[in-house]
Amino acid sequence: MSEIFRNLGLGFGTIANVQSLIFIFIGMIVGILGGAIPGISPSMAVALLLPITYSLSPVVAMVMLMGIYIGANYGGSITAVAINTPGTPSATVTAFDGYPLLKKGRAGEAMGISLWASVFGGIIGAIILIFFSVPLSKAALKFWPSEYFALCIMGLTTVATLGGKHWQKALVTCLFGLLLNTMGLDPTFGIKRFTFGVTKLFDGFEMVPVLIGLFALGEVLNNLEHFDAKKKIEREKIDYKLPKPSYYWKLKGPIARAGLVGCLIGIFPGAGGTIASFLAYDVEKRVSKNPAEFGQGAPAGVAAAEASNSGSVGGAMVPLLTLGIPGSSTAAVLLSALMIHNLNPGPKLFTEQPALVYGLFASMFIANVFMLLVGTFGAKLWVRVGYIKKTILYPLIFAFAILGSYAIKKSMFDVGTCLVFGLIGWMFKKFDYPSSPLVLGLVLGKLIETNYVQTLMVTGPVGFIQRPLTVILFVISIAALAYPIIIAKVHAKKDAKKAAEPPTDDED
Amino acid sequence: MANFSKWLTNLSYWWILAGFLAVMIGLYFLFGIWPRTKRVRVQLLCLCGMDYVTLLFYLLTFNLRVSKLAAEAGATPRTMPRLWALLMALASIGAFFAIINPENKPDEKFNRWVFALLVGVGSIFSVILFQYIGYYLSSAIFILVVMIAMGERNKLQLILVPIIWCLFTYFVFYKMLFIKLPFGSLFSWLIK
Repeated sequence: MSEIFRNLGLGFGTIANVQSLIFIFIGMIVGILGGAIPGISPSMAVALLLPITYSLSPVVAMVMLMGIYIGANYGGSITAVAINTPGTPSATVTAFDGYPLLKKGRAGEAMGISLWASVFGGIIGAIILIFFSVPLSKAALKFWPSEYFALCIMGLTTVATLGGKHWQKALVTCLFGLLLNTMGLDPTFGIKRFTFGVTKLFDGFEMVPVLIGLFALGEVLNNLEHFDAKKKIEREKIDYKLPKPSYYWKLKGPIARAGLVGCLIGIFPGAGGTIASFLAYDVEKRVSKNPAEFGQGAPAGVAAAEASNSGSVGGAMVPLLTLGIPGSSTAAVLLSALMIHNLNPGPKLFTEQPALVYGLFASMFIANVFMLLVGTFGAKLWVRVGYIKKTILYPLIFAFAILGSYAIKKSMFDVGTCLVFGLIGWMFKKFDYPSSPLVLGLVLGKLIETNYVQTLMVTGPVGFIQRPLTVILFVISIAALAYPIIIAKVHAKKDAKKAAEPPTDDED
Repeated sequence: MANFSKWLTNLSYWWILAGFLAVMIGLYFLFGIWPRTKRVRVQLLCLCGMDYVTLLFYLLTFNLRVSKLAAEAGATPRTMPRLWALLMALASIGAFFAIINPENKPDEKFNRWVFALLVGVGSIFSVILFQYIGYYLSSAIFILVVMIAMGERNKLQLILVPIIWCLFTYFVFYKMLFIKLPFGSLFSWLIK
């Protein structure tokens, strides 16, 4: 325990300089701005800003990106409350009670709750991250290649199967990502694969243009397709005066519970803030003395939604930092950011780069404190962000995406990659193929291949069943794959039963 | 199979792309025949597009060099692509039936897709123009054109937004981050 506190001290020491603090602040502001604008997700905000971090030191770059991630998660709630339009998918639940509160003339209360719940949910997530990831990273150091391989497979299957209704499509896109990852030089034998004579493909696809294309361009192209110049957002004159800090004390229970739920859900790859907020909201509704109030403007509902999606940030960082497996699409972008700065995410990161890891932990506390200050004094300003004209926003995002992909290597090929993946992202978005599994496949492919080959070379095929943990992880993977199939069948049976039942009098 | 794979490897990627387009067009009409596939044919085309790449990669693996050491270990450069291709084939079958299931949502209609595509094509032109008129002017023109195309008529905003964008990129990328963006051959004398 004392080691954790000592290292945390080192982390705070690492970022206790003007440059780091400024970049955390910038990141957090950009994150809030991005989150508050409907159509910009946290992963898109982080991907777009990734090229800016090239010339920064890894610590400063990562704390800035972390600031964006945290800020964007809160930012989504602003428009959810103000105009009933969640800025991010995870803020959907915030709108359930946030907007009714506004309609009752309690806008300041709703904004205040979402801010304080975000801050404390985020802090709970950060605390759990620290105490969870340190022992886990130590255990992971003892992992064999076969266990790593099984772990990656488990990560991929849960991601694919947590794709909800479209789990089959998620599985396909995940495998497609893995297949695309085999392009370039083979990591073990150095043989060229599927390069089609293009030398720029020797290292496979550059991750940043792929991410920018999928998350930013794909989204913007989809929005452009549905853009209606005549549609205007109605502005309402509302008083956003926040309550006094003592007011939030009565919400300590929902915030603590939801922060915990959010963080635990966030640990599971693919679950993310959206599922976490739905789950935490449900938990809160069940334990509430007035469940009927939920959906009509319950302060506890807003608190649960926001604390859980902010808590999920800490959770998503657990598998990313300790195992090198991203827990969400934004974490996948962060994983690429680590790789761009020549850092290998995984348990060794804790021993090789303690200043960076603990600096990142420390930055989560600082970003949340900054967020509290900025949110308190800038509530009115952030609401206006949601009114930014799309005629200005979309061309700028497009230009930024092109610039970001070009700036990495000053390569037109990268811009082409970005545009191609933008097109793929657009089609995926339009036809319900989730993009995150594709990114995870692209990011994890090399790790899987290396560990697979190492296992075969060291122990042969028996290596995959030799160690109990490997077998357990494989069993979980199979269960994760089987789960949606079983659930779908159960639902189909229920529906069939309902349909077969004769209609009751009430229904008549 | 090895000979076919060798032939495929030596094929220009333009031919592969042309083959891709031909297959997609063929499948578009094929899926239009049956009502069950007609309502979801673009979803199916997305799936088939990924399967086309999978099949291509699988066929190309036959021409990948395999060292003796790798063959003895049982893990060659062919192993992973083939494993993913096999799993992809299985997953695609599952996805195919899930897509054609009558309960599945039909294809979303294309709204202003030509407009969105034109913006994409416009961005390619803007990138090509980098080397002639430079990044700053090229991106400013791109932003201006897209804003007008989207229906923006406020003259002040039409002038200010591209200018602010250019100033932002110049100071942040060029001055702060030392990322040199092209000035273009037409204006290269300015730097000299």
